[in-house]
Amino acid sequence: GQRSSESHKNSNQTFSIVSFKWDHVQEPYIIALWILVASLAKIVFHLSHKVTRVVPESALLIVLGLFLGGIVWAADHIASFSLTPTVFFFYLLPPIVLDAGYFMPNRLFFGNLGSILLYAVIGTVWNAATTGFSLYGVYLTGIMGEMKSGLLEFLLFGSLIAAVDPVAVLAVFEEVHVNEVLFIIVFGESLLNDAVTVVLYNVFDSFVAMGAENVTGIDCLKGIVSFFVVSLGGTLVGIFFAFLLSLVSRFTKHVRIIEPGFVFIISYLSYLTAEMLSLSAILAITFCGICCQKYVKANISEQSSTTVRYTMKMLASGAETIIFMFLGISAVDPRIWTWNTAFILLTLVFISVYRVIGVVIQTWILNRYRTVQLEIIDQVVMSYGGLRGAVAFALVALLDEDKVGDRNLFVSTTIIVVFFTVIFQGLTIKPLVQWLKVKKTEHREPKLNEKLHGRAFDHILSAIEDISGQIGHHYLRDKWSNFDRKFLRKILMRRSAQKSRDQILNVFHELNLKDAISYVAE
Amino acid sequence: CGQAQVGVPRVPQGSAPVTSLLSLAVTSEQIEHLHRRFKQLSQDQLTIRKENFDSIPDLEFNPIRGKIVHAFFDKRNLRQESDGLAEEINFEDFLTIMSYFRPIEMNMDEEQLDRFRKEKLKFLFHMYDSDHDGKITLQEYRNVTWAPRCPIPPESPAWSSPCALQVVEELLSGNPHLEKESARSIADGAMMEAASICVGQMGPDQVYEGITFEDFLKMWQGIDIETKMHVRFLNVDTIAHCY
Repeated sequence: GQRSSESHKNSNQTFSIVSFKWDHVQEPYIIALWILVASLAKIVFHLSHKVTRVVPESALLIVLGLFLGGIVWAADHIASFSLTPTVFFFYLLPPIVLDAGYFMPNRLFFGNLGSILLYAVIGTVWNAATTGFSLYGVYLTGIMGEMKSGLLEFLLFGSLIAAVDPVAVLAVFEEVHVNEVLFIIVFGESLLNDAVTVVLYNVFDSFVAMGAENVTGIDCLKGIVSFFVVSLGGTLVGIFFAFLLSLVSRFTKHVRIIEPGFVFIISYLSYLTAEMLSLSAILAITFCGICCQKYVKANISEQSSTTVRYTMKMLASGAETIIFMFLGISAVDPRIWTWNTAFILLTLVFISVYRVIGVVIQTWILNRYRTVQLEIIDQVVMSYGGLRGAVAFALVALLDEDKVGDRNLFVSTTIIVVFFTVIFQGLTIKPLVQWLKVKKTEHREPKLNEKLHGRAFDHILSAIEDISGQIGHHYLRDKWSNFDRKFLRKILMRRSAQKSRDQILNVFHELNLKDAISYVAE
Repeated sequence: CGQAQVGVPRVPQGSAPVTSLLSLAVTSEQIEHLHRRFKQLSQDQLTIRKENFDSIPDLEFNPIRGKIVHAFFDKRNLRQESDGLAEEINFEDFLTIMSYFRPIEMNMDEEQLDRFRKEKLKFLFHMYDSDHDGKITLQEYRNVTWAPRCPIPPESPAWSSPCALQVVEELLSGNPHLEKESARSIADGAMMEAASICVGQMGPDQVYEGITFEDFLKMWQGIDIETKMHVRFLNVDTIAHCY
């Protein structure tokens, strides 16, 4: 930096023992400081149980961010820090999504995949379309006053505000403990809707750039095709890297110390590769985590498994904390603040109302095909739990002001929507869940009998399906597990792991250990 | 409610009147579908025997195949007063077994739900209690964890012969390397767990005879078997759902 060259000049006269090299370390220092502040804030929050029981941590972090942003603004009159889309998409989001995928309860996920896909795809398209068109309709009536947007811009806004956000859902639902089926549906939806969001956003962004007059039917068709390409492509990329990761983990016996590293590097590569090919990166890293779990957990050593687990949780938790704090900080930027009461208010109303309507209709359709029905209470929680978060903010921040005239208005509205859902809905969802007596997760000790019979059930139900000539869940699951046993395991799992890994054995050993310990303790 | 009255269902030849079939709470469309399947399995005969189940290719790989097929012919499941095994079953019997797997309906009250649950658990109990004595003994429990895919039935003396032990397919682990000893220990452990739930602390000289049906019910308390033990297809026609 400049200082060092200056001191270099001065060094002709004297040798400086110590020098203050701020410019030298500025960037990493500031990053480290922010991470430290966020982590310290977490400590402070959890000092008070009364507060954390009522207020979700995410809300507290946003408020802290607002406060800090205010300080920075007051001191400098420039908003020097904000959540840039690059940092968000490349560094903060991947760990969270990887953590979700790697620890995804696969059986539950695939068992409800139909419902999840319906909500993720149809639901998001519905939300985007209805919100966009409604806002445009209201704009035409003139209530919103003068705006620089046409139908396409409204649809663009609709598509980025429509998606349920995985980070927010995780942060809030984590503290609420609803039953697992409900959780997996909302959470699965928030993960899988990325493909839809990416496609809609890109499609409308390019349409806006092309200009409304130039959009042809072919372009629309291309848009629809790109949805399939983006989603399936992203999934395939994820599966490919999962295969790679599992294969690599088979041979890491002699490099146990760096075993955990492979998990992170290869998963991250899947994210970046999908991003490079303009496919859905979230889907890629999610499916990478989902598909590799079983084989990686079987192959790597106990210590590596623990390391992976805790590192992943730490990164994910850290990223989440930073995201919420910076959401608060980024909001304190008067340059972007544009207020349009009608627009903001109507956006809030429309996204809530259309979500409810969407959930109700889709649930009605789904209940005809689901074995475990989704009741009214579940629908209430699903509608209320459709939180918007940082993904929407990052997408709106990416908009180019020259292309989208009302960009600042969109940004302000998105910030308000995100704050509203995270703070208000986050605060009230816990009492709501308790009031409605939503079925909670049961924290039960795993009983050996339960696991034993559970397995017997699978076989029984599979047999009944075969006898009655139906292709059902159990048939499919059975076929998959045969395929897995015959081919996949042999390729991807270490020979020693193939023998000893079994859930029932695990429970059995655990119980044995407990017995032994209590026996000795007596 | 919950049953779609789709015209007059075609009554299968030589079986009980439709009203008694519908009392099994499956819709007439499902009855038709199952009847078609029955005819396929029985090769257009009026009854099916155990051998007819061999024609289902996917069933071959199912480790619990023997027990399931056995369950179809178990007179206790067919709601007949007698005991033992039937030689052959007709369509009504087939339907009776299938109805054990119907899902819960929205309009069931407490008593119905309880009866429903008991029925399903009774079916399971009969499956495990292979010697029909009303108790699941340790040996029978061991057979649950270790079910060789071998034509020799457990009752026959040839059961412990080496050939029976060679051809193996684990019921539970799906893992061909699970040793017999481990399977045994698991069964023993599960039995002890069951005993501790049903009888509480046992003295060192007490012998746990076997799991009776009441004990079996106790084991399953708190676990929703109604939502776990059903087959998807029986829910396809839930058009007339009443709240």
